[in-house]
Amino acid sequence: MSIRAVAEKDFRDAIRSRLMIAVAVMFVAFTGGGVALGAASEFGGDSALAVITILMLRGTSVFIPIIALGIAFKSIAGERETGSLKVLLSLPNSRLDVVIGKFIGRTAVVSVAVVVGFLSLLIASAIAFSGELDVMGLVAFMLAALLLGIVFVSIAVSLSAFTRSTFGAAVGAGSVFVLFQFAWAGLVFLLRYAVNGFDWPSGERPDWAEVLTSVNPMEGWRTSANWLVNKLAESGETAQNGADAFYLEPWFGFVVLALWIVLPLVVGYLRFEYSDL
Amino acid sequence: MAAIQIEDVHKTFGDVRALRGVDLDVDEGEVFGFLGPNGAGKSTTINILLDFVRADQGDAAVLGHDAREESVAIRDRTGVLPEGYDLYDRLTAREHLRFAIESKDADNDPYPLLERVGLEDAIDRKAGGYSSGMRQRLALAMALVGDPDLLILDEPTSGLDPNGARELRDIVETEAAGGTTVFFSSHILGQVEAVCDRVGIIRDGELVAVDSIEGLRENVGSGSTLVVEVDEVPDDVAHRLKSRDGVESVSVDGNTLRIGCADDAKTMVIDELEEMGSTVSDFSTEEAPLEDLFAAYTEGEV
Repeated sequence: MSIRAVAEKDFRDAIRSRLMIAVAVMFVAFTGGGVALGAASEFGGDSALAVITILMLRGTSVFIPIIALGIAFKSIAGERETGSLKVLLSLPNSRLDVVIGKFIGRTAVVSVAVVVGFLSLLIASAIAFSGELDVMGLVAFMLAALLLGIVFVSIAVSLSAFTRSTFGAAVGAGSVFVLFQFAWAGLVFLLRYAVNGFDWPSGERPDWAEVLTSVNPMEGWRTSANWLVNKLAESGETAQNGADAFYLEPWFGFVVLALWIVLPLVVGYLRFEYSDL
Repeated sequence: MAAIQIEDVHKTFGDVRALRGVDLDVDEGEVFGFLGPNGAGKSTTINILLDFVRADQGDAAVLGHDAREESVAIRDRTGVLPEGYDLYDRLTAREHLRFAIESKDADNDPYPLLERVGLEDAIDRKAGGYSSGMRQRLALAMALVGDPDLLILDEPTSGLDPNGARELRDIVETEAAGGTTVFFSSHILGQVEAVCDRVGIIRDGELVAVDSIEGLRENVGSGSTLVVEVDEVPDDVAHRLKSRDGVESVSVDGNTLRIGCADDAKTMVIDELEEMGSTVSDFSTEEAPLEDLFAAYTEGEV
């Protein structure tokens, strides 16, 4: 399997760049800081942890995309720029092997960093809250972070396969971040405005606007992460009692995420396959 | 069977017509030198064979496989030294070779491969600290992984010192003796003369000649230079000689005349000189330097 050779080489290369260590250190600082905040708060054990979890989920939704985009945006464009892609493709690796191998390699880098970060969170929490630990809650949190990481690695690898330069890939990564974090809701609103005959829309949001809002990967992740944390956390109650539309169901969040993992890879691959080096 | 078959391949980059209808067959087991000045289309041709770039028109096949559709099968049996490549600065020579071995599903051991290219002492050093010659040696070792049936080497001597170039020639000869087809490009004819069975010369995206070196010489014909010693150089000798058929160039250095002319014009030149009142004390013929032969093709004189 050539995919494995590419992924292994990529992972090894990334470790050597100390990229992963830098990311893990940032992540430890981030989770450790969260715990310290919670420990310093007025609340006792359980509620403190609940507050931390909420804060950390918020932080994670910004932090993980930045990390994943940063780790993966150069993955293919960087090799194209230096010329090492010619070495990679002189060997019997197909372009699909390269895209999938890079995706797996960079996902591994992000995953190791996230797992190291969470182990440190676990240890920090154990010290701060003298043993009363919601381990399953933390595991759920970690899984949610990993899921978000994978989505953005896929998007970044796709951008990297799509553009000819790391500069282009960097611009793409920045744009994607802004789009999904801040601009999406505004764009949906603009669309409503346009559909409304360029007039200020009023009343309930129509279903299509709700669906569009829900297909933002960040929205899909919020839905899935909430479900995961509630499901696995001992203290959690299943809050999904009022879901009356499919796009509010937790499974829809997972579908959105799955699409955001698969589609960017397909698009990036197709563009890469049909372009000259 | 042909190792490489190129039929009417065209390729345009923007408004640059890099290849304008290239046809080329390279036989199995042959050592083929692909020559041309920089920018003539050598790398573009090789990149099409490797599916790095796609032809706008025409067909290319390598080892019986279509270059576009079955590229992985081609690269499975081909060792490549690409042009304008880069290595992974953070990986060692051993790791580079392991990657190549794993990608090719071969069972080589990195050490003997590095021994062949003279890089065994640097096996566990990272490529980032290598000189350009060492990089070229490592890339060559990677090309040799899996005992390929075909070697495609794009400007393999670039970055190598004369010693390295000689070692490269030895490797090419050893591989060729073992039945491997070798296709390599160069912009210097002198480098390919010693090892090539045939050469192809490309100019402005068109193949202008495919022949053995001897064949090229014969074809150029006028490739030799007549060197004549005279007691006295006649006035206006250059002008008068050049006006005769078969004489291409005349240069005067003291009492020595160097006349580029066709073989059958030599006697006429001597006669002409005597007629002008000179006494020829000595004359000899020099074979045209390879550079002149190359220039004759690449500058469009043939």
